[in-house]
Amino acid sequence: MRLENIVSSIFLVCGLVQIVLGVGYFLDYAPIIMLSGLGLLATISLFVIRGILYSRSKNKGEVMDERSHARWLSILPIGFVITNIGIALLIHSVFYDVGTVKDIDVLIDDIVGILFVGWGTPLVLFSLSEFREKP
Amino acid sequence: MGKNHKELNNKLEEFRKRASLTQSELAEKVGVSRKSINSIENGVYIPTTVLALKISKELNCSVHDLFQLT
Repeated sequence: MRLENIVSSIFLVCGLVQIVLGVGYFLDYAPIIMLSGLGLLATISLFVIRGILYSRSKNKGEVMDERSHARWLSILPIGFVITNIGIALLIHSVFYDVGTVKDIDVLIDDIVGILFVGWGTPLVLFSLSEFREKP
Repeated sequence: MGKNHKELNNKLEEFRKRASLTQSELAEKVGVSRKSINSIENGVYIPTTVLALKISKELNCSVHDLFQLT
C-alpha cells in the first residue's frame, strides 16, 4: 500500500469512528457511548501515526504537502459549520421547549455528539476526496 | 476538469517526460506527493510559486515554459 493511501485511510477510519460515536450520543445508545474513549484514542493515534510516518518518510510531502494542506483547510470549515449550527439549534430547542430537558446530562451528551460529528465529517470528506483523485 | 485550468495552460507532463522522470521521481525531488504532480498535470491544482519554481529548477526550464496564461 502506498504511503499516500495509508494517510488517507487513517483519516477515514478516525473520521468514521468519530461520526459513529457522535450518532451514538444523539441516540443515547449506551453500548456506543461506553466506547467514548475510542474517539480520543483514534484521534491521538491519527496524530501519532502521522507523526511517525512524517519523521520516517524520505519524501515528507507524501504525508502532507501544499495541495493536501490547502484541501484540508478548505474542508475544515465544514466541521465548524456543523458544530456551530448544531449547538445553536440545540440551545434554541432548549429555550423553545423548556420542559423537554429534564437533565443537563442530556444536553451535554448532545453537544458531545455534535462535536464528534463536527470533527469526524471533515476527516471523512478529506480522505474520500483524496481517494477520489485520479491515480 | 480538463487537462488545463481555464486560464492556465501547463506543459508539465511534456517537460517531465522530456527529462525522463516519472511522476513519483519528480514528486520526490520537489518534496510533494505523486498525487500533487498528477493534479498539476491534469490542471486540477495550481501550484504555489515556490513549488512552481522548484519544479522548473528540477526540469531545467523556466516557470513560464511550464505554465502560460491562455
